[in-house]
Order: sequence, then C-alpha cells, then structure tokens
Amino acid sequence: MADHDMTRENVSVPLLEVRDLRVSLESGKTLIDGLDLTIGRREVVALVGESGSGKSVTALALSRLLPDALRITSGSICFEGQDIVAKSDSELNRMRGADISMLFQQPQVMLDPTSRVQAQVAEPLRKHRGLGRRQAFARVVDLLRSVGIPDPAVRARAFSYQLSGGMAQRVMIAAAMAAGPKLLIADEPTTALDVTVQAQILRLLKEERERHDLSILLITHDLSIVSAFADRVAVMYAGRILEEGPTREIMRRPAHPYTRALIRCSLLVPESDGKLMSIPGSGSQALAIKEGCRFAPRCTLMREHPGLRIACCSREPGLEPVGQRWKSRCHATAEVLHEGDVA
Amino acid sequence: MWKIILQRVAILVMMLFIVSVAAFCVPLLSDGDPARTILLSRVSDLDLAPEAVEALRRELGLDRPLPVQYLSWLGSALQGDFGYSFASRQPVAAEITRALGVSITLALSALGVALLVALPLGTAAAMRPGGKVDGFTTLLIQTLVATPEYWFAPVSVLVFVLWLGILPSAGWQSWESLILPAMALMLRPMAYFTQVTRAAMREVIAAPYITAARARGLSMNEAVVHHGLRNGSLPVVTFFALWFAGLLGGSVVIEVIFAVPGMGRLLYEAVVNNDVPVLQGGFVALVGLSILINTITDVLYVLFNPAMRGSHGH
Amino acid sequence: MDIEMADPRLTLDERRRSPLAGTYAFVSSRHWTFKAGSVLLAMVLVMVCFAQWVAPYDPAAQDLINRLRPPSAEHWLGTDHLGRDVLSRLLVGGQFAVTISAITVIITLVVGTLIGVVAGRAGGVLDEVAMRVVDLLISIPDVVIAIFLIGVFGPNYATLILSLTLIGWTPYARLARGLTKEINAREYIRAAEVLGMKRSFVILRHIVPNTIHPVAAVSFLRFGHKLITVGGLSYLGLGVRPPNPDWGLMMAEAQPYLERAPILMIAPGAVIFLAALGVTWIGHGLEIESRGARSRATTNAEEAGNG
Repeated sequence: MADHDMTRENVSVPLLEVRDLRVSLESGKTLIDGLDLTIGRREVVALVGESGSGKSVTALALSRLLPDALRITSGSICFEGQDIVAKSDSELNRMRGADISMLFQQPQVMLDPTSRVQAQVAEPLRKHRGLGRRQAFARVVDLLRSVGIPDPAVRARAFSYQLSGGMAQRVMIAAAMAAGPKLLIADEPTTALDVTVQAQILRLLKEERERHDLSILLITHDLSIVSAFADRVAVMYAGRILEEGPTREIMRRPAHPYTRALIRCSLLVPESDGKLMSIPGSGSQALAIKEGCRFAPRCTLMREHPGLRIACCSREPGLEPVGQRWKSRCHATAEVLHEGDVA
Repeated sequence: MWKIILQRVAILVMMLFIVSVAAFCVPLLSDGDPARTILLSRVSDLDLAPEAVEALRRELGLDRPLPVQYLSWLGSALQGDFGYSFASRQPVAAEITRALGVSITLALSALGVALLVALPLGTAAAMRPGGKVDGFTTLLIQTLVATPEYWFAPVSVLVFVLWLGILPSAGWQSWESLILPAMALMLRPMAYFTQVTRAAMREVIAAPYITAARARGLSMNEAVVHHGLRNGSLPVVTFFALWFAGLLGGSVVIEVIFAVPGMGRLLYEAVVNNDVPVLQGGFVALVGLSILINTITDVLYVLFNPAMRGSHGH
Repeated sequence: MDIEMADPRLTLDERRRSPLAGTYAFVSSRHWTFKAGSVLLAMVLVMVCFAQWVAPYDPAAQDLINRLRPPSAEHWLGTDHLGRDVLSRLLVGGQFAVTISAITVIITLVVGTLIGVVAGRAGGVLDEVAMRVVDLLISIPDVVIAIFLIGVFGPNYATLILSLTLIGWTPYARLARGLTKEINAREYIRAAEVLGMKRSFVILRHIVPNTIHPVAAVSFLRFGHKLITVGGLSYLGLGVRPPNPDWGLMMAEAQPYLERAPILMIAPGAVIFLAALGVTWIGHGLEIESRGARSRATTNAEEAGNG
C-alpha cells in the first residue's frame, strides 16, 4: 500500500498498529473487512460509526476476546511490535489487563453480581503485579479513591447492584488502570450513563491519560464527545475505515461524505430545507455490497454529481492520503472538501 | 422485596388450606364409613352391631356438620395430632416423624451424590458445547431420565447382592443398606442436575462479567471458577431444594423394594391396610413440606440475591 | 443441523401427497435423535396395538409344568412362575401404561397450555398468582397424590388419570406462559391488537400455533415420565389387577424369582426403558429444533430492529 510508508515516517514506533484485519462469522459473513488503524503513544483515537458498523467487534478483536462464533481470518495487530493475532492463550492472559485494558458500555452488567468490588478490582494486581490478597485489597482502596469514589473503603466491599451506573464505570476504570496498562480500549464507556455523569467519566479518563501516559481507543457513536477528547478520529462504516485523521481538521472540514453527514446529524442544525439532517437508508445491508463504494447507496454527494455514479458503483475507492496523517476512502475527496466547513 | 415475600407467604397459606381441605374431604367422598372401618379393624367381625357403629360415630364426632368436623380436625392437625393409625394403633404423627427421618437421610444421600457427579459433568459439558463431553453428557442424561428406578433397583440387587454378595439386599440397619436405594434414587435427579448445571453454566460463560474478567487478564478457567461457579450454582441449589422436597415422598417404589421404613413405605402400607388417618397425615405432611420447602427456597433466593432483582436482573 | 431442517410448508405438502411417504419425509428431515426416537416409539406402538394378533400364546394361559423356563425356541423369552409365555405377556402388557400415559398427556397438555396462555395474556396479579401456584405444585411428586387418591378410591382408570393430571398440567402452563409472553412482545401481535382484533382471536390465530412445537417437545418428554410413573404404580400393585398382564406388574411378580429367572425382571423393564428412551429422544429432537427456530426468530427480529 502506498500510504503505508508515509505512516511510518510520521510515527516512529506506534503503540498499536492494525493491518488489514478481517473478522468473520463462522458462517462466512465478514464483519470487519480489512481494517487499518494506528494508535501512537499517549494518543487518544476515537473510532466512530453507526451501530452495526463493527466498532464493538473491533474492540473485542483487538484484545482477542471475540465470542466463539467470530474469527479473525487475516491481518495483524501489532502491539509494541508483537503480533497479538499470533499470541497463545497464556500470552494473551498476561497481556490483557496488564498492557491492554478494556471498558465496556454497561458497567453494571460487566461486574460479577456475586462478587465484591474489591475482589474484582484486585484481580489485575494479583495476577499481573503478584500482590497478595491483603496488599492488593489495600491498593484497591487507593485506586478507588483515585477514580473519585467517595468512601472508597466502604465501596470496596460493595456489590455491583449497590452502585450507580457512573459509580460502576469508575470501578471498572479503577480495575482497568490497576496494573498500569499502556492502552485502554473503551467501548462506548459513557453511552449508558446520564449526561452529567458522562462528562465526569470523560474527565476522569483524561486525567488517567495524563497521569499514566496512556493511549486510549475510544469507541463511540457520539461525535459530540469526540472533538473535546480525541487527538485523531477514525470513521468506520460496514466493517471498513472510511476516513481517518486529526480530529480538529476532520470535525471542521471532513473529506468523506459519510463523515460530513454524520457530523451534520450530530450538530442538530436545520438544513437548507428547514429539516434536520438525516442519512437516508441503513448501514446494516452495506456489508453485502461487493462492488463499488459501500456508502454509495446512501451517498448524497453521488446523487448530486451523476458523473461519479459509474466510478462509485463499480470500484471501491482506496484509503488515500488527504493531508498530514489524514486519509479518506472516496473518489470525490476534492468535491467534498470543496463544500467547505461543515458548520 | 417485602411485598414479594408477603405474597409468597399468602399463596403458601392458601395452598396449605386447599391441601388440608383435600386431605380431610377426599376420604369422605369414598363410600367407606370411618366408624365401620375402625370397628372392623378392632373387632375384625363382619357382623357389626349398628348401635355400636352409631355410638362410635358420635364418639368420633362424625355426626356433626362437616365444617365443624373439618375445623376440629384442622385444630388438632395444627398441633401435630393426626389421630391414631388404624393398623398400628400408634399416633400418626409419631409414625410420620420416624419415617420422615429415614426418608430425609435417604434423599440427602441420593441427592448429594447426584450433585457431586452433576456439577463437574455439567460444567465440563458447558465449557465445550457440541464437544465429546457434551455429547456423552446429553446421551447420559437421556438414558438416566428413561431408566425406571424400579428396574435399576432389582438389577442392582441381582449384581451386588445375589452375584457379588457385597451389599445387604434390604432393610435399614447399617450405612451399607443405604447404598443400593440411594443409587437407584439418584439416577433421575442426577440427570436433571446435570442438565440444569449445563444450562446455567452455558449462560454464565456467555455472561458479560466473564468477558470483563478475562479482559483483566484472567484465563477462561479462572474467570469461570472465580465468577462463574457462584452465579451458575444458584439455579442448581434451587433445583436441589425442590428435588429434596419431591424425593421425600417420591421414593415410594424404591422404599418398598428395599424395605426402607420411610415415608413412601408408610404411605404404601397405609394404602394396603386402608389406613385413612396415616394416608391423610402422610399426604398433608409430604405435600405441605414440599410447598413449604419450595416457598422457603424462593424467599431465601429473594433475600440473599437482591442483585438478581436489581435493574439488570434477568 | 440447520440444513437438515426442512421447510415446514414443504413437509406439510408432502404429507398431503401420501400419508406414509409424507410421514417418512417428515421424520427423515428431523434431528437424528428424533429419528432414532421415532423408530423406538413406532416399535412399541406397533407392539401395543397389534399385540393380540402377534402374540404367539395366550398371555393368560398357564402351564404349571413348564414354570420359569429359560428362553427357548418355543418360548423366546421363557416362561414365568405360572408357566405363561413371557413374550406374549410383554407384547400385551403395554396397553394399560401406554393408554393411561397418553390420556394423561393429552389432558394435561390442553389444560396446562390454556392456563399458561391465558395467564401470559392476562398478565398482572392473575399471572403472578397462577405462576406462583405452578411453582409450588410442580415440585409435588405425583406419586404422592396418586397413592393418596388410590388409597381412598382404589385403583381404577379415573383415579389414576386424575392423580396424574392434578400436577401434570404445570410444566405446560409454565412453558406456554413463557412462550406467550415472548410472542406477546413481537411486533405482529401488537400490530394485530392495534388493528382491534379480539383477544380470543389473537390467542387462537397467533399464539397457539406458535406454541405447538415446543409444547410437543415437552409432551413427549412428559409421556416418558408418565410411562415410568404408571409402571411404578403397577409395580406396587396399585395399577391393573392380575391376571391382566402389565409391564410393571410383571416386574413385581418377577421379584421372588430374581435370581432363578432374571429375564422375567429384565425384559419388561427393558421395554419400559426403550419406550421411555424413544419418546425422550423425540422430545429432545423437537426441543433442539424449536430452540433453533426461536433463536433464528430473535436474530431476524434483531436484524430488523437494527434497520
């Protein structure tokens, strides 16, 4: 690939480098189709897309926690130069929680209802740092305090049903950070929470990043939290990256019609006809598209420029450079950029 | 939570009332006259003087209106007085207590062993669905469910008593006499325990908190041991209690075959001897215990497992 | 497994073409346990239905000189303690247990399913109380009820059937209620209600047909269970009266001769076991299918919901 060398020049040693990742159902249906993604050290990358675009599958694939029915069929996931795809089960167990930690969408169901908070937060410490039960539990109280839980000593002995959603997510963050990982994969960590709590959790994640030199992959469908939080954005659609680049540029002036549409939807500003923006159609059938651009059936740009139709419907565009560390998968990048700032 | 417990208790009381009414009324529907039956059992003379029958009817209070009879019967039943057995002339309550002890011992040993086999087997089957262990387990469950215990029992007597001569055939003298009846009784519960364990563990293995535990670095086995077993054992424990309640009276055939002096045999002999008070008492005791244990299990489940009733339950 | 499963409409059409070919097509398109179970059950049913004509001897004919004979060319399974032919008695001996079990299963199925569907549709307090009663009843052993009633009324068809149905309806009610709740939540039921269709029409047209498959699975499993229970009551002498042959009774009569002629005990038990195994397999096969069909239905719903 042409863009491969360019990435190398800009980032000396990326923390995580995903190349051509493919994930399929046992039945053969492909959910992630040739995903490329790079996360640098101390970088926050947001992976955005509609539901069903393969974001959560990506999160599970990166930590090799896919359910049995899903398989990584090709590609590599290099973490600090080592391929995660080739790792054995025991190597993976040493890696998860120690190098790569995860956050999930519904923190309360991610906690064992029959086990106390301290037992679960202590697990990475005992497993990866070799602490004994008592030492680990003492450390848990510090950890809980550091994620802003009041009465940490009391809460350490609580069960998940005694915690609010925000509290449970703080506990999950404490557990995720316990063994000092280098990468945190956060799959919609604030989606199930109240808006006010969302902001607190995001602020906490930012603090953790500063404190621990952490890289974060934030998976979300919510563009409003992206600009305040992420250094770079990757836009996912039907198992593929459509656009990837610096947050500021993309949020201001995206190079892909899909990104543009997503941002306009999230801004909730009326269009020229007075209606709110919406993207016609659904992305759930796009996985079946074999020829041409996967977004073509829903693309307003293509409809406005009939001359593009042949190219868009017959040949899928490659992920081509648009600017500094900025790539887009569209035949008409120039036309999109020409439309100017998004808002 | 208290509302649920109160509702459970209310339904329990209602059911106990229905059971007691049934136990009291059903014998009245048959054409036998209790006074006649009692006199027959005492004098074993077919030419009963009608005056004697009538006198006994008055003595037993059988000439009073039905609801009054029921209430006085219920009153004494609540104090543990079910009258006297026609056959043995012993108080029914004493006989039931004695037999219940035997049946509890038998049921607990059968269910205990069944659980010891079922828990690891069901878990192993759940770990690799569709695998060899799973296939074997499914076949074993089906075989055990289809095996009549009164077929297994005589065949086991044939093998262990008559051919090998290593176990006593019948009676209730030593712990060895417990082995064969317990073996025959545990087949079906073992099958169902395995099935329930398998289903519970399948659900647990797919649970989000197992994925989260693995994301913290626990291996699949560690995650299942630390977070799966406790969650998965809840339905199994519930099931154990229900089977325990059921097996107290459900072991009639086995108790008769092995001459075990438990509840089942007490009831069987009551049928053979047409011993109505024992039948009534045994019926109330067994059915009452069954729904009582059922309610207690349910209430404990509510009390000790508020997590299941939280926002994310089920 | 999925590939083996034929389109239900297709099998219906084929059944219409010719009963035998249709049945064959229906059975051969099922899960393997269903096939194996069908073969076993068919054997038992043929045996029970045609026993009178097939039996080599009069099952009640005694021959006291040839008592307790081992299997031979004349008596394939030997003779019992009164010199009666074991094979003939075995062939005839299933009628009582199979009839009682079948009647019980049909009654409990109808009653239980109706109660479950009504409770599931009604919801609220009625549903809660009904299901709580089901929870309580389901753990009562039906043998205790049977013994109590037989003790009072004596052994006869009515008492036996009554005692097995009093508790027997509960599994159906629980299942049907769960299914009803599940189906209730589906879009087309809500649509039918919005369109103003009558409650009874919704139940008959949409809910009952959807419950048939899983309810059939439970019925076969329960049938095996009843067969064993009825056999046990016969074993205790609380079933048919001698000299009518019956599997359970044959086993009871064989007990004193266990060491001398174990086949008297083993043969009838084996027949009960095989019959029960057959229906268990059929039930299991159906259960696997209905589970597959249900998970497919939810997947479809989810996919539709994503759009």
